[in-house]
Amino acid sequence: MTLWRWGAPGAFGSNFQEMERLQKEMSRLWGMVSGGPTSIERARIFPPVVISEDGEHLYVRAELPGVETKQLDLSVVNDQLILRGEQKTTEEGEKINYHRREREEGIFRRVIALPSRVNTERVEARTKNGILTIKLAKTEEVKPKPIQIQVGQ
Amino acid sequence: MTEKEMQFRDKQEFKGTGETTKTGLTFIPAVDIFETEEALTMMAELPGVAQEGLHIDLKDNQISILGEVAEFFSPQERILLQEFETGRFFRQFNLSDVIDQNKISAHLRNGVLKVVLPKIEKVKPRKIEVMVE
Repeated sequence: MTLWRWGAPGAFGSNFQEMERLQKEMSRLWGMVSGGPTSIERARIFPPVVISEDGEHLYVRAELPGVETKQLDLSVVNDQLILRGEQKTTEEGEKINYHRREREEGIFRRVIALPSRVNTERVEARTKNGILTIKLAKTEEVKPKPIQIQVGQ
Repeated sequence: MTEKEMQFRDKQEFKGTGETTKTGLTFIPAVDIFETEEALTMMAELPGVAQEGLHIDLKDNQISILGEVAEFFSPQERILLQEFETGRFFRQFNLSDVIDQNKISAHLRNGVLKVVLPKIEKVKPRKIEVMVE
């Protein structure tokens, strides 16, 4: 299982941070010129995810067409989300001859380091139209708190 | 039973002729096509496409699939990490004469579209009995 740490320094290590920054900047500029997608970081582990947050929750989403919730195994340990499952695309039945096989199948295992602490008791997962959404409640201490400012007379 | 580990793949972007009138990205869905004696079946992966966003057109022996993906973020959400992009899905296939175009059926289930293209009666294989004298 591959562990991918949030905001970890790249392969060059901290001594080469400046070089890495330059490289990132060049990639970004190159991306703008070629019209490709910008500011997309990829861990290159299946399944690709999109992580977002609001005040109360973290959301982890993945495109898993045809994967039912019962084929998924999710767990949260400390600040890590472990996502395992299987995608099956082969049709059962005799006398089936394939013309094209582009859909992939197999097992997947991914550990996602979450950007903030979550309440492990309150994790919801659902699939809709082939998109898995995992909703994780942030712990009380990391939720934003409004600060009342007293204005002195 | 397979124990193959799935590999990360980039979504393939559609580079068709002519410019699209709408902005945004268009991707090519992964498709499996298999044949049985009765029909050709097409399975297309369209994650994020709901029934109302799916358009299947049949014109001049060409079947086209267009899937519009609805935005799944709520306005309060802030994106922290984005490893894939969303956009519409588009793909076209030419149908051969053996397909009975009046009997095509389509089902969408959990992001996978199944289109069954039945063959016309006369091309279905018939078993030929060999007479032994």
